[in-house]
Amino acid sequence: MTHTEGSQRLVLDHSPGLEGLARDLPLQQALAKHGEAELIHANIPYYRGVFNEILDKLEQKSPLVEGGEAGCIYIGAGGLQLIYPDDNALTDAVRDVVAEFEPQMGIAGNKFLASLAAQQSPPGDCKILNGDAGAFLKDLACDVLPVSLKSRNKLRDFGLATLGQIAALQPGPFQSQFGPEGKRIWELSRGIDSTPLYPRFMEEAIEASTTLPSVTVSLDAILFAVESVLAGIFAGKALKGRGIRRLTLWTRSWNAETWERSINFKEPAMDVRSTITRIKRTLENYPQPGPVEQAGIKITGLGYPGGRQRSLFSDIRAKEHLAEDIKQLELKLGNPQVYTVKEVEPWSRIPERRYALAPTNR
Amino acid sequence: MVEDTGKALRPGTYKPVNTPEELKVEEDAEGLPVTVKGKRRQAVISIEDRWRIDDEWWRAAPVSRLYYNVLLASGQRAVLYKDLISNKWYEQEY
Amino acid sequence: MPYAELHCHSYYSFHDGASSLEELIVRAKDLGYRALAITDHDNLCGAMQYAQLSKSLDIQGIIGAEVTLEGGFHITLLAKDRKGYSNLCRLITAAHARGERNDPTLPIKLLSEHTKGLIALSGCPKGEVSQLASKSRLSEAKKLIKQYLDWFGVDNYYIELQHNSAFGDTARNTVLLKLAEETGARVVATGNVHYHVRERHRLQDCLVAIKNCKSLEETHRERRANSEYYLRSVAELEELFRSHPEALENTLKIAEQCTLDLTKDLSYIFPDYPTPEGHTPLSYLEKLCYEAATRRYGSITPQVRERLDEEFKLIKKYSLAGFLLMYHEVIRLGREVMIDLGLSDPNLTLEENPPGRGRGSSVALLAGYLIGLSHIDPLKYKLSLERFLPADTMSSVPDIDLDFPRSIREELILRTHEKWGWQHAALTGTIATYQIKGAVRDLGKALGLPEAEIDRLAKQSDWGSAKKLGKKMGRMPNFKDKIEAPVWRDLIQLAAELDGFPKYMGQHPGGMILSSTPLIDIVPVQRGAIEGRFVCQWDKDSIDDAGFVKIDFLALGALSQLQDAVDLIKERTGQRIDMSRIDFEDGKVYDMLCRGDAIGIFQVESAAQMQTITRLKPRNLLDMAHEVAAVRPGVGANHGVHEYLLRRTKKKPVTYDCPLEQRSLERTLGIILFQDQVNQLAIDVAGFAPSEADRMRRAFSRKHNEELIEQYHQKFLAGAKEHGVPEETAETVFKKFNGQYMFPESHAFAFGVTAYQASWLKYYYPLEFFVAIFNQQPMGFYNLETLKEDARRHGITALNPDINKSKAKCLIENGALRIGFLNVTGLGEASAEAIESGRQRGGEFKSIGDFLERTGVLEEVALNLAGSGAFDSLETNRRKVKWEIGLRYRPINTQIPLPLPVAQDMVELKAPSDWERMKEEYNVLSLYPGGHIMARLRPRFNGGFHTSRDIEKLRDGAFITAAGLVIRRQRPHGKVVFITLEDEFGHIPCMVFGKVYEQYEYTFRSAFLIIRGRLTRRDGTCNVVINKAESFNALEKVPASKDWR
Repeated sequence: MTHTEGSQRLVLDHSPGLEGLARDLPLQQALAKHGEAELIHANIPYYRGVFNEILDKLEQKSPLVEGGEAGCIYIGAGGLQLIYPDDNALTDAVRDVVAEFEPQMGIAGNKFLASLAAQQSPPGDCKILNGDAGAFLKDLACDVLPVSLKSRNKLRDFGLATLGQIAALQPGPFQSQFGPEGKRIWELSRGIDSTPLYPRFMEEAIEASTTLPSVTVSLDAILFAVESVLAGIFAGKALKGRGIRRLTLWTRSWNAETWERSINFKEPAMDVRSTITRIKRTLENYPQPGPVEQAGIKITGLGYPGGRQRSLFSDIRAKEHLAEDIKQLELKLGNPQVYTVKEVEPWSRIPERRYALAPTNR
Repeated sequence: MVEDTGKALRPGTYKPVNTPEELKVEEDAEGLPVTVKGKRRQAVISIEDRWRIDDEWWRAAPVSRLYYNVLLASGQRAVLYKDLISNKWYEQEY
Repeated sequence: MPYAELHCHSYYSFHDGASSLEELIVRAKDLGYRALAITDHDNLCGAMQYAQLSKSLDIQGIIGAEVTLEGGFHITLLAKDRKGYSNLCRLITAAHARGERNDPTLPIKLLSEHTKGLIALSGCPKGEVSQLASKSRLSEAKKLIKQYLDWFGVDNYYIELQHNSAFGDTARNTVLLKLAEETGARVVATGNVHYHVRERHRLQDCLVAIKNCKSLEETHRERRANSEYYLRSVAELEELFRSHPEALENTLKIAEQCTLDLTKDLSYIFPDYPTPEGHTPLSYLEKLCYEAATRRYGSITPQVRERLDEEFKLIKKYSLAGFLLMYHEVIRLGREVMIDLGLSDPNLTLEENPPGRGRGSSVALLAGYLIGLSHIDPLKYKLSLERFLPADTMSSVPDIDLDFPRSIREELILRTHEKWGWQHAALTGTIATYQIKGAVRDLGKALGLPEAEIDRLAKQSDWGSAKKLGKKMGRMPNFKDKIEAPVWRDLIQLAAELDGFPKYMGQHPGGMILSSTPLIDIVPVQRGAIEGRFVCQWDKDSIDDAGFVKIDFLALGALSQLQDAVDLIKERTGQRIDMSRIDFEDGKVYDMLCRGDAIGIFQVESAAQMQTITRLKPRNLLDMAHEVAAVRPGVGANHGVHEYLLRRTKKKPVTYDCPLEQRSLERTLGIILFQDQVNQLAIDVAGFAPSEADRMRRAFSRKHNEELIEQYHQKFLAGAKEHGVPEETAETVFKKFNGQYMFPESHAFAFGVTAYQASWLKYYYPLEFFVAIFNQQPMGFYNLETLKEDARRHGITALNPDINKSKAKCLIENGALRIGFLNVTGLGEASAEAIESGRQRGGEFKSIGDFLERTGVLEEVALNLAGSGAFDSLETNRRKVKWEIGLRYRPINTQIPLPLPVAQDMVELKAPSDWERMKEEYNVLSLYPGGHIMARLRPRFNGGFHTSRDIEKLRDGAFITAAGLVIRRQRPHGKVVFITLEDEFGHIPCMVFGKVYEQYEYTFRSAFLIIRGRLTRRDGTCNVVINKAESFNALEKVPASKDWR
C-alpha cells in the first residue's frame, strides 16, 4: 500500500511475507525488491474518517484518548477505577466500541510498554504487563523501537539486535554515539518511557466539496471549482458570522490519488476573495499529482474578525448593496441565483471550454 | 479512464457557456452542408470558411469536428459543425 | 496536376516530426508527388540518408531546412545546388553557434550574406511574414517581403501558402495573397507536413507533449489544432488551392531548379598534410618509413625494401600519402598526451610504445606499422597486401579506426580540435533513438498514466524494440489485463510507432572527422555537450556515405589494461616487454584458451565466445581472427558459427552454394565470417561494383529499410542471372545477407592480436594481468567477484584494503593483489588522495583517531573503510571500529571528525561473525576477498546438490541439481539464454530455452538460483540445460551480474 508525501510515493504498509520492506521506503526501492507486488493507493481521508469515528466513541469511555499512527490508540486508564473496577471491564468497554475490528490490546505502565504488549496480544485479546519489564523486553528485536532509520541501521551495524543487548550497555556511551536519540533508545530498552498522553479535543469542522464537470489539470478550472464551493459555504449558515482561520484543501484525481494541504490565516478570512487568494498560491506552489476530478474544503478553525473600518467610498457601498440584494434573492428563492461569466480556458479550441457561469461572489 | 461525466447542476458547481446545440442539416454528395433546419428551413448560400479540430483522442469522448462558417439564404451568418464521430450537426459560436 | 511538397518534417525534427524518411518518401511516391523536400528544424541530420534513399527509390529528393531566425521566426530554405548546400550548412552552423545550446537562432544579417544557391520560402505561420500578416501589420510585411526579394531575387523567394484547415488559415492566406500581389512576389503552396498519414497525428501530439515535458492534457495550446498535417492527395490540394492554381504550379518550378545530388556532389577531398620544407607528402612519408625501418630491423633488408616499394606504388596511385601522414600526426599527438600525462617514457620511440592501435586495412601496411599506426609486423605474419587492400577497393577511403587507451582519449580529442581547428575537425554525431524503456516512460507521461505503474512497466520491460511492448505486457502478471484497457492500448500502439525514432543528437563516443577544406561547407557543425567539443550533424552512416576520413578515437579498456600491465611488469622486473614482438604462436597460451580459461580476456570472454573457443581451438593468429569474428550477431544469424565449427572439425565437408562464392569464402571454409566477404560476394556473384556492394551491405543495417533492401534484392538477382547463376541459388546466397553486425576481416585480425596479447599476459604474468584489470573496471564481461575468483584459480590472492598499505588503485604486494581505496563504495579520488598524502607526510597511521584526524575523511567513508576491513591491522573487531568512528563525528552529522577523547565512551561489542563480515564486504567492496559466498552457504546445499567441480566429472545426459550466484546472463540472438552460475569451485554454464525461460522469467532475474536440468556435452563444451529454477535469498546487496544481449 502506498501513500504520497510531497511528490514522493512511499510505502505505507504491506502484506506480511514481503521481505525488506518498511514504512516510508521509497516506492522505487520497494518495487525493485518485489516487482510483482500489487499496489493499492491509500485512501487516507477515508481511513482518517473511520479512525476519528472510533476515537469519538472511545472518548465516551475515557477522557484521555490519543490517536497515534493510524490504527494505534492510547487510552489513559489511570483514575478510572470507579468506572472500570478491573482490567476486564476496561477491555470489554473497548471491545464494545471497536466491534467490527478485533483490536489487539495491551495494558502497561507507559505508552511504549503498552504498545508492545498490544502488538504481542492476539486479535480481540489483551496482554497485561505487570512488574519487571526487563524480562519481557530482553529478547525483543530492536525493530520495535520507534527510532529513525539511521539509528536503526546503526544498531544493526553494531550487532545490537535485541533490547536486552542495549540495556546491558551503559547509557553514557549510548548517548555519545547516538546523540539525544541515544538516551531515549537506552531508556526504552529498559522499559522507561515518560512521554505523556496527548488527548485530542473537539474541533468543529465544516466540509464541502464538488465534482468538476470535466476532469482537468488546469489550475484555473480547479480554482474555479473551489471558488464555487467557498461561495456555497459563505452563503450558508454554518459560519455564523465567523471567518476562516484554518482550512484543509483537498483534491482527488481520476485515478484516486489524493492531494491535501492545510492553510492557516493570521486574520480570519471573511469572504471568498481573501480566501481564494491564499488558495491560489497554494495550488501554484504545490502541484497536483494528476488530472483532478473532485475538490473540497474542510474548515477546521474559525474565528471572529478584528474590527474593521467601513469605507467611505460609495462604489464599495454599491457593491455591498448588490451583495445584500443578491443575498436577499437567494434567501427567497434558494441559492444561487445570480451568476457571473468567468474565464476558464479562454484559449481553448473547443469553444464550450472557454467560459463558465459561476455564482456571484460576495 | 477519463470519463466525460456531464454532471447535473448542483449548487456550488459551475456551468459551461456556449454549449453546442444540435441542428438538422442536409448534406450534399461530398458532405458539405446544403440546407439548415433551425427554426425554419434555410438554404446555405455559400461556405465562407472551413476549419477542423481534433483533440482529446485519448479520452472516452474524443473531439473531432469540422466547422463551417456559412451564409444562409436569409442573409444571416452561422457557424455550424459536423461531429465527425457521431456524424451529427451542431450550431455553435466560435 | 503534378505537385512537389516543399515543406516537410521528418523525425529528425526532434520531437516534432512523426514519420521516418522512408515512410514519407514512399507515401509521397504513392501519391504521385514529383518531388519531396525534407526541411527539418535547424539541422541536416537526415540529409545524406535522404539523398541516398530518394535516389534508390527514384523520386526527386530536395534538401532543405526550416531555420529559426532571431526573434524566433521560421523560414524555409531549399538548396538548389552545391553552393546553396554549402551556404545552408554555414547558416545552420551559425545559428547553432549563438545562444543556448539546442536553441539555435540565426541573425538575419548572416542570412543576407549567404543567399547564393538557395531558395527561400516565407515559412509556416511562425514565419515573420505570416505573423505580420495575421496581425494586419501590412506595411511592415510588405517592407520585409521586398527586402527578401532584394536578397534572393524574385526567382528565389516565394511566399508560402499553407492551408491545414486550422482556424485562421483562410484569413491569413487571403492577406498573404494580397501582399504577394502588391509586392510582386510569387506564391507557393506547401503542406507543413509533420507525418505521412493522418493517423500519425496522435503520435505527433504525444511528441509535442514530450517536448514540453508535460502531458497531453496540459499541452492544449502547444499541440496542433487538428490532424491535417499529413501528406495529402493532389486532389485535396487542388481543391484547397482551386482559386490559385499557380501556387501549386510553382512547386514544380521550384523543384526543377533544385538539382543538387548529395550522393555525388560532395567533393570531399582527403585532408592535406603540410610537409616540411623540400618534401612532398609522399617523400616525407618515405623518409619516416625508412628511418623507422632502420630502427626496427637494424637495416633496410631486401624483404623490407621490396614490400615498401610495392606499397608506395599503391599509395602514390591513390594519393594516400597525405591521408596516412594525417593519421601519423594524430598518433604523434597521442604520444605527446601520453608523455604529458606521465604514462610513457619519452625516451622510447613512437613505434616502441604506440599510444594507440589502428584497426582496419592498415594492419597489412608495413608503412603503417612503421609510422606507429598498427601493432602487427605484417612481414612477420605474412599479411598480404592483396588480402587486406585488394586493388579494386582502393578507390574508396580505406577505413582505419584508431583505438586509444581511455586515459589519453579525452585530452587527445581536445588537442585534435585545437590543432586542426573546429572548422576542420569535428566529432561524429550520433542519434540516440527510442527503445522500449524510453518509449514507455515518455509516452506514459504524455498519456497521463499513473507514474508508479509506468515506472514499473519501464523497468520490467528491460530492453529491446518498443514494438514488443504488447507482447511483453502480456507476460507480466500486473499488466496483462491492461492490454485492452483504454489509454494503455494507446500506449502500446504508439510505442510501436515510436520505436527507433530519433530522440536527440549527441556526440559519438570517439569518432572524429578531419578535413582540409572547411567541414562546415559539407555538414553543419554545432557545439557539443562538453565545452571545447564540436559535433557534426551526421552520424557514422552518413559520414561513411559521404566518404569522409573518419578517425575513431575509441577508448578500449583492453588497451588500457595491456598498457597498465606492461607498466606494472616493468616496475616489478625492470624489464619493458615489447608486446608486438612476443611469440604469437606459443602453444601453452593457446592451450589455456582452448580450455576455456578466458575470463578477463578481451573479445573472447563472453559466454558465447567461451563456448566457441573450446570447439574452434585456435592455434595461431588467423584462427584468433576467425574466433573473434565468428561470435557476432551477423554470423550467428545464419547459423554460421555452427556450420563453420562443423567444417573445421571435419564433421562436414566444405561446400559452396555456388562456385562463384569460392574466391571470397574459401579461406573461411565456405562460411561468411567477415563483412568484406559480403561485399566480395555481391561483386563476384552478381557483378556489383565495389562501391555499390558496399552501399548494399550498409543498407542492411539501416532502420526502416524494407523498400531499399527489396531494390537491392532485385538488382542482385538480375546481376546473378547475368553471371549464369540459377535464381534459386541466387536467392540462397542473398538470404545470407543481413543487417546484423559483422567484423571486417582486418578488424577481426587486429582484435585477434590484442586478444592473444592479453592471453599471453594472463598466462605468463597473471599478477599484473589481474591488477590491471581490477584497476580498469568497469569493463568487460565480469564483475570483481568473478575476476577475483578467477585470479585465485591462477594463484593470485586478493587482500582487503589496508589504510597503511593500500593506495588509490590496486597494487602488487608480495605476490598478491592489494585492493585499492577506490574500490571502496563512496570513496572517491579526493578521499584516496587524502589518505595517501596523510601517510606520506606523517608516516603510518597508529590509531583510528590518528587516521581520522590526519585524513579528515567523511563519516560514511570511514565507516565503509571499516566494513571493508581496512582497519583490521589496528583493530580486528570491526564493530568496535565503527563505534569509535561514530563517536568521533559528534554531534551527529558533523562532516569533520573532532579530536575529542573517546575512551570513556567505548563499549564492548560482539565481533561480527564471518558471515556478517562477508555480507558487509560484498556491500562495500562488491567482492569478498576471503572466499566465495557459496562456500558459506554450502551447508544449505549439501545433500543432493552438485558443485561445479562435480559437474566437470559427470557424463553427458546426467541429471544435475546445483546452486550458485548468477554472474552473467547473455542472449546473443534471442533464441537461447546463457546463464552462468558461480560457486566456490568454479562456474556452471547453463542454457535456457524459450519456453522454460518464459516460465521462469522473473526467477531468472534473481541473484541466487537453484537449478535443475541435464548436462550436455558437445565438442568439448559443457552446459546444463535448465528445466526448473527457483531463487533463494542470501544477501542484501549482491555483486551485480553483467547482462548482455
